[in-house]
Amino acid sequence: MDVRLILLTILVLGGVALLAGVVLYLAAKKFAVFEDPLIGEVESLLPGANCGGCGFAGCHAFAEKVAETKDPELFCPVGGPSLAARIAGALGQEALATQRNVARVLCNGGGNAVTSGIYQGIPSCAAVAIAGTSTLVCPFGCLGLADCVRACPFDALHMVDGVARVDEEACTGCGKCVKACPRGLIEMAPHAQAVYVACKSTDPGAVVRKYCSVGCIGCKACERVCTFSAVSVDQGLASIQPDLCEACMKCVEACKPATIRLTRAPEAKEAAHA
Amino acid sequence: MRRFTFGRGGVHPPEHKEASRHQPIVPGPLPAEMAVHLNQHLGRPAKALVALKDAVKVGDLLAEGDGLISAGIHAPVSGTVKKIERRLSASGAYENAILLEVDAAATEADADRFREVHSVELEALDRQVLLDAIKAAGIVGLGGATFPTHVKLAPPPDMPVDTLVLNGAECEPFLTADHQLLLEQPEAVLRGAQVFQKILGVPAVIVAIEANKPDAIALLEARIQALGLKGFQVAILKTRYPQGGEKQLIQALLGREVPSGKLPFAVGVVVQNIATAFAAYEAVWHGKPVLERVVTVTGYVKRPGNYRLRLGTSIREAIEAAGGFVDEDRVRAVLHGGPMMGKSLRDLDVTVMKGTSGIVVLSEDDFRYEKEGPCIRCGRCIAACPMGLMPTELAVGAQFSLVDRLGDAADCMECGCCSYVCPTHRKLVHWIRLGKAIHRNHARSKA
Repeated sequence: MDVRLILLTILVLGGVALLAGVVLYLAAKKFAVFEDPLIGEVESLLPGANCGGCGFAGCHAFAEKVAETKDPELFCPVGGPSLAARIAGALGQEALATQRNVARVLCNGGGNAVTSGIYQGIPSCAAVAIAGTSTLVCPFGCLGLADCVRACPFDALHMVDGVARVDEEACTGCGKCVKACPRGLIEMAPHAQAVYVACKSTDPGAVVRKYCSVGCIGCKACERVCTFSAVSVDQGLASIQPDLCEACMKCVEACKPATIRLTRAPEAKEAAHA
Repeated sequence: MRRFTFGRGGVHPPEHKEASRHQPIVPGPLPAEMAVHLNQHLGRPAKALVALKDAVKVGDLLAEGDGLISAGIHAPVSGTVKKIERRLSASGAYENAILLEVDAAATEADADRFREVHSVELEALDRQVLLDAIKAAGIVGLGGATFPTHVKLAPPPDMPVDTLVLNGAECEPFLTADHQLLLEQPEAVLRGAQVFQKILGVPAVIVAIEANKPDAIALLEARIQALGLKGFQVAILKTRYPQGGEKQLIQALLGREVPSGKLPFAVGVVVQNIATAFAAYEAVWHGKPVLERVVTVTGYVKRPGNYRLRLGTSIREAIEAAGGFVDEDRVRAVLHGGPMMGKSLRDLDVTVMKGTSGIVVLSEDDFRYEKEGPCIRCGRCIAACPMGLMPTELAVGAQFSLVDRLGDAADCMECGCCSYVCPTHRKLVHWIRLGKAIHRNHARSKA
């Protein structure tokens, strides 16, 4: 083997590499695009799930927006208040006081609701809603085919006895399930607010009784017992105003069909806030 | 004689028409209570004009069409308005309906005014007068699509129409309502077609009938000759599903292809169903709006046949009129419409609507449910699709929300050929229907 040939090869290739390196270096200098280092810093703090819960196309897009506007209102629901504080720290701001929102399924039907017929179509709530092939008699309730469960990127929703249930610890409040439910049964509510009305039926009580044993019949018992005027009944459906509710449990006890539910064991509202 | 047919796809399912074929049209029951839905047509639901406790007479306008694509709804009976409420309709949606308490004696008396025949000089009438009469009668496409007929008879000025096709294919298995109507009322149907011809100002009218109805073909040919109708001819179609699809029919008869996303206007054709033509005849000669329609009640019932049912008759009453179920315990499904495009009902208290062409009861002998398997990529659905689509790809697109694969979904007319031929029983139509919605929502969110 000719040693000179090996040396020549090393020299030629090394020369090409050196030349290319210089060209690339100069090009990188000349055509450099400035990116705010803040974007990278913020993005590294984000969860990286790209769930879109913030309303942007993904974590990078959110970080760009944060770095650009420094708007303290921009909020990553997944990271919650602790992340908001860290982002504020990176931006050199005070974090806004925020509340943690979680998804809440406004139906408790499932096994308590009357069905008729057998559904043998494709497993998709959306398809049932379009074709009108639901076996659930209630026109408002959970169809039970788990579109929301499939939409959840955090495994926070599960079908329990034919109705979707939220695991509030796992729920990050990204809101994907809200969009996935063709009946609009899922809403975002403050995590601190443990008492809620698990029904969306505006039908008259007599009609509701025929198709569901746990549906709101609009009897106003809850409205009467509430000492904080937080509960009101409109169009045969109760609703609770979170900012007035003190979680005294009176309405939960008064609700005969047990439509008003608790998401977890009762606790003082103050404790839940902490 | 030449038998026309469309170029691609299609299937030939067992016809099952024997049971109700040639059964004379029998008037249906007069129930004590009727629920008349405000949304019996494609487009916006009608707006109710009556209030609680109002007394109504047969033929009174209960609700008027809301906007251009909508149609009026008339009282099928005399009686009083008992309730206006949201009710499950045969379409599966909860929609507003007017609940009427029926006054049987008054219904009988008030219906008399629709029995007399007005003398009509079709030649002397203005086309707008006729079009208004059609609109006032609340006529919609009675073949099942329920598109408001007055809209379908008013082509845009830049799309001249040269041919009217009268659709008597009735390719859906089990159904014989149109066939029987042709046999019993051939002249009325032809007169209705003349009304359409006059409104559209078209020279040529093709009455298209499938070859499995030879008596109707012969009868119509004879009547056209006897009446000396100009421009009319009968075309024999090969018995093949979905021969009665609008786009398939036009392609079969005229060799013209309706472009994707366009209406038959685009190729100069208007297609109207036999029953729609009959309704037009009744509107013009009797001043009678759409109050009832011929419905084939067949399958696992004691007296399968063709019944003239008032709109608002419940499916349960319709089945009772046909003698009831042979054995209720063995009933597995009651279909609204035929087995290919119809929908299984979960509640027999829903009512007959303008789009109800048939009620088919399936027993456990006829009914088969197979679990959906995976696609084995055999391509039979692609060969069967009369629209030249790839059902398997569309279904996958819908299943996994792959919007860019769903671009063609809107062309699907949900005829069911793909699901019919699929060896692994994929619910292709159901998926594609979902796919259409996904694609539509996506397009809307981008706009």
